[in-house]
Amino acid sequence: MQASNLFHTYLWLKQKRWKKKVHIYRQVFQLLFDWTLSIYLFLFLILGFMILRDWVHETALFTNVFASFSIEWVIVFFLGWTALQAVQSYQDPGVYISSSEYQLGLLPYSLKKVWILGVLEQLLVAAAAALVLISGLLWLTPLNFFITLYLSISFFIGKTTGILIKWRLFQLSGVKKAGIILLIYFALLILRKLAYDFTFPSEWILWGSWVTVSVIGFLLMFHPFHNADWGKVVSYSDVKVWRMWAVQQMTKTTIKPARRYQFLQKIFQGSRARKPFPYRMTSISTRIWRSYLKEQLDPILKTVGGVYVAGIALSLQGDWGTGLGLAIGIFVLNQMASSIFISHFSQAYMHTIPWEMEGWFQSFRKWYAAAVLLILPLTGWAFFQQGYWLMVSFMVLTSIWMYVDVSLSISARFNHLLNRSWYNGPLNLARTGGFVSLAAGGIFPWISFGVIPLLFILSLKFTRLKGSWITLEKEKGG
Amino acid sequence: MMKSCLRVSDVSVSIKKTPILENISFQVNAGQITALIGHNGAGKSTAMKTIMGWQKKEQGKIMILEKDLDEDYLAYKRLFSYIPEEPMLLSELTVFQHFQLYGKSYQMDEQTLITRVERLTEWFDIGDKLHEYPEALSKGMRQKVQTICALLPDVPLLLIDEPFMGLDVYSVDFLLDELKKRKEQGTSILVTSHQLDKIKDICDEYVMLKDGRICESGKIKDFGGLKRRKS
Repeated sequence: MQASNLFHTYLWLKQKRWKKKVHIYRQVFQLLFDWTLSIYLFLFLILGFMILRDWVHETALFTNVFASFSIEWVIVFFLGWTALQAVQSYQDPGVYISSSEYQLGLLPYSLKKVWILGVLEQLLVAAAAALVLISGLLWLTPLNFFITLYLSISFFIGKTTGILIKWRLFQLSGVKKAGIILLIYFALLILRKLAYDFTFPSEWILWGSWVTVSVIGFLLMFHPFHNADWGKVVSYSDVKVWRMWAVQQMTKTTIKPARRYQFLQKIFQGSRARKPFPYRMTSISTRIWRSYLKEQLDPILKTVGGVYVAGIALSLQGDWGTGLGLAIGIFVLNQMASSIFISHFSQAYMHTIPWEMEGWFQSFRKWYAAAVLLILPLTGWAFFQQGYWLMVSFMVLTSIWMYVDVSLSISARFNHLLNRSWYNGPLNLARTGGFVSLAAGGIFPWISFGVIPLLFILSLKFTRLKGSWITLEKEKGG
Repeated sequence: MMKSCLRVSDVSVSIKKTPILENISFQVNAGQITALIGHNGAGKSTAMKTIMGWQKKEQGKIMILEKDLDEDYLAYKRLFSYIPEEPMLLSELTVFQHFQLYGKSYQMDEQTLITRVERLTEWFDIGDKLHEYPEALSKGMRQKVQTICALLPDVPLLLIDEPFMGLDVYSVDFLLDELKKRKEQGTSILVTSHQLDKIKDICDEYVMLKDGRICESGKIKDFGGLKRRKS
């Protein structure tokens, strides 16, 4: 009786929410759109898809690319997709128990049953998405039917297991979670190594991966409320439910989860944290960076996740992809790091103090060590097949290059901030040289071993890397 | 002729293509206090932010002593300190840690910093709040902390936006005395305030802004007061 009531209440809640969302969308669209324009836009979209389909089917380049897709690709997609679910657990609880669903648990309904309904809802969403994917791929691309089917099944299993992976990881603290995510990546590395060594048929590996991930998902179903952090779940679920992308874009507003000070207060505002700093800029700014980087966690994790997926996928394409994946990954990561560094200087309070760049830069590089540590497993993965010594050497080489390049990238952006972009020619040249040599490293490792140490020595000679780059050194002198 | 500390020459600022400041030029002489006055929306805060390099200008030149804002920004920034209208404190630093941040940013040695912190916190009566976080302080207390931060270093120029906002009468008295003392020591001060009666006694000159242009300037003793917008 109660279960049936709960189901109806849950459905009623969803209906009301749906109506409210439709109402909001209608209000916003009425302000900015007219129906005639919307109908034309819709027709153009359909027409555009049909043209795209013909183009994809008739162009030799595309047909060849799609014909080359094999089960190995599906395995890579499946492993990457599953790993991505783990990374998303920083911002996504998987099952959305917003304040409304949580209040059902305060009424005479079981919160666990509400949670199960939430899981079922997400399963339905995943099934619908898989159906759209399979129909879309079959209609739009000349992909083989079985590959399409395997892709859609992989998508569905990854997505449904991801619901529970996200739920469990979401409850954990940052350090524990990062450790588990790293373990997941290492497990994937071992899986790939085993598959390579024992030369199993690809279908077996794919089926084996599906079964393994599904069993993990099944085991995660038990005791779902163990260590559940309801405050965090409700706060992030509210955002997930009410963050309407189109409305945000049109109204220029963003919805973010409420900042939670309780945890921070306990850890960071204890008696030790209240003590005066050793009177050094690096000590003071290290604390400020910690809090600023925490605010930037969302883009950081998304970038790191993307870098891993792209790096792993490219490394499976052969030796050329190994170096290229690594180079692209480090480039993207360093662009993000330098952008975060510079964006900090546009904070209001930073305008009230002089910028002691040396200290700010050194403390930032301490935190940047985390990025280097994150890239090391990817380097290990990429050079796994090329022998132990080459793998270790490349791990050292990429660490050095990451530090050199982040200094170059920050300096270039800083010069731009100070309207001194004319300094940037040699910096960009050095960056290009480093990345090209790293990309070539998959096929010709000696190029990387020749160029990157040279750039490192040059950077020490001309800029004394311990401090900073050209502009900053010049300022020190001035 | 008096030596100028701050020189603003022909500066224009637009925000989203709307002109906020148009060709303003003025200077603050060494060891003098200049009041930047005008109605709400006249452009006082934008002028302050532009002098700090916070707001980008379209044209013109701003110099503090010999340092040009556009040519040597990092060195330029060390020549002034700023008291904002609203406190801009960091939730992760205690009051004393804020003083350390400011002291170190202005390259003060530790002993000088401690001596100044003792003197200023005693006067502003926040000596017992040194190890508190800003969220545990009232708005007035936070404003006192922000004011102390700006008064810690010896800089040639002090920029002050609404100096008495949120301060109690004792702190206002102390701040007025402190500004007079700094002036005698050769510090130049540019101040914006709605409470003209309070700053009039310590000011030497004034610059009046109206709709982003300088409409009047001169000795403060010749100042006739703000006229109503619609007379």
